[in-house]
Amino acid sequence: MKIICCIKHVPDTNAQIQLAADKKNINRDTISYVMSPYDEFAVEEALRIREKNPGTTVAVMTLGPERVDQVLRTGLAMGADEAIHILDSNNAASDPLLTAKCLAQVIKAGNYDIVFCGRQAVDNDAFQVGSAIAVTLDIGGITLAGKVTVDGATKKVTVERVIEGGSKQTISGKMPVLITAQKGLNEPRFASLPGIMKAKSKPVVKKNVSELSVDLTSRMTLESLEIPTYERKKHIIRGEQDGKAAAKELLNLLRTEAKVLE
Amino acid sequence: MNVLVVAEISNGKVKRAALEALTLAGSLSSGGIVTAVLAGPFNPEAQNTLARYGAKNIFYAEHDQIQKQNPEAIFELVKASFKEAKSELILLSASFLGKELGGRLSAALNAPLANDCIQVKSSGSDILVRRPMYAGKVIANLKLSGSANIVSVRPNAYTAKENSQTASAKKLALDNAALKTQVESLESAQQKRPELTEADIVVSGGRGMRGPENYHIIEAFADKIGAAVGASRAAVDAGWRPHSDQVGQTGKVVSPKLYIACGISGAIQHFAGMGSSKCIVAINKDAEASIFKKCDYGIVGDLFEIVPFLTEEVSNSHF
Repeated sequence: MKIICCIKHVPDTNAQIQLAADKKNINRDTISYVMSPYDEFAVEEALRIREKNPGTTVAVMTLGPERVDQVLRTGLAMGADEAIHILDSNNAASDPLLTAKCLAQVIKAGNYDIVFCGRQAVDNDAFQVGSAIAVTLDIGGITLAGKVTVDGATKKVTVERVIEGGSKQTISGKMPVLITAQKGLNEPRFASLPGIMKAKSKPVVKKNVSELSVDLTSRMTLESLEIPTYERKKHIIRGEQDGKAAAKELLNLLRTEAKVLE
Repeated sequence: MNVLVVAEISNGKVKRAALEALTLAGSLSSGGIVTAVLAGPFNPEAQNTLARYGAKNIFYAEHDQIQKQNPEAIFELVKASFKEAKSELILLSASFLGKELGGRLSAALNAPLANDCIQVKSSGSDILVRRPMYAGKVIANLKLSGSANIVSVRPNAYTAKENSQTASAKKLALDNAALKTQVESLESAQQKRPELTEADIVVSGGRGMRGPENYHIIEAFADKIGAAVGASRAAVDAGWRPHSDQVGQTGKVVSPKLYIACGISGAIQHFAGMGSSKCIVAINKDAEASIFKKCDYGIVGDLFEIVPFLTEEVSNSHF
């Protein structure tokens, strides 16, 4: 079996985001970058499938400028066999639809059986690339996987997932198939020191977006970014002595001042 | 412009987020036709509701996989409806389903997509949106200029208003053979409480709850005020609550009128998930907790004492 995981280098979720002077980018200098948390579940699941199905290979792939190849090193250190970097030095394919088309083209050329993505990347939260890849490749797509069962012989993939309202759904499809990972799918491993050492000698194939036959015309323009500010009243009631009075006071404020409670 | 609204259904009822999208569609259409497509089984009550909120045409399909909420089947139906209605704009709810449909449709129609928008305007044939990124730490202003555009709208961003129309319903055919995925089973959860992302009020519990056995305290309060129940990442990672309850950057983003955080210190990832709430209330025994710097009202005190008092007082004074 051939598995590929599409992963992304994103700001740590702890990061305080600041804007660059042009207000069209974030200031990258002050923050650390990690593999998007949902992509970690995706890579982990691929590695577990490989463990159960000898002969399986796992590739990790990302798209972006030179600096993002660090996330591929992380994927390789976790245990992936090979990596593909679609180099996009000028962010020509950063529109998620174009990203999906570029990734899809490389996936198609590689004849992969399973494509894994995280449910979303936690930087622009587009929630688009995974399902757009499935449609572009005209293969089955299953999002928000909470459990994945793979039958290598019949090529059947079965996914359990929780949807809106907490309902549980079981969806199946035949390979090739795309799956997006939800939190809870597994407990991702950390890259071990030997893993990190080994990763250094693993291959990273470089391709350039300009080599692909994808029309990079974007119909989405980023006009500006802003940091939202919310004015908060910060009315603090001391309730250590008389909790009941504090509760009464709070309910009164919510009803008469904030008018958010009937 | 002609607008197609994808209307999700829960227990036979059109979800409120769909009515919010219909209201928005009415204001954007300026003379164009507003069509609704049912992302679920047809029923006359749903038809009436959609007409009452401004749908002129209603499309649906009778299909086992639509009944079972297969996103691929619903996607095929929306795609067929898009062609039939000659739509220029597709509005979805920013639910998991809506966002997946958006991603699929963007590839199928080669159309730009903005998911989870908090504001949508038209400017000529372009669509201008505001949408959170980095889980709300940043707001992006985007312009979509496709021949068709796709937008999913965050629940609670718009208020649903009635705008009665006489609507006709039309059944579209779905090709079963085209489906590459099959929903084998759907186990509907008993929904006692409102959906977290759509609720007017959310009561959440964090590490200060001390254990899963204590959540009945906030559940009792939530049920008194008709609220959904959420949890912080700490409580989910400790295994106290399911991941589907998690509010924050790696969980759900909520934007209710009132958010009540109990025993939550206020980590940046948590704020990313609830920072756009209209009114934030914090209950925490640690007066130094960072949540007190970013809330509207706070009580410094023991939540095990305060929350039951709140439950009691709400009952006394109102119901």
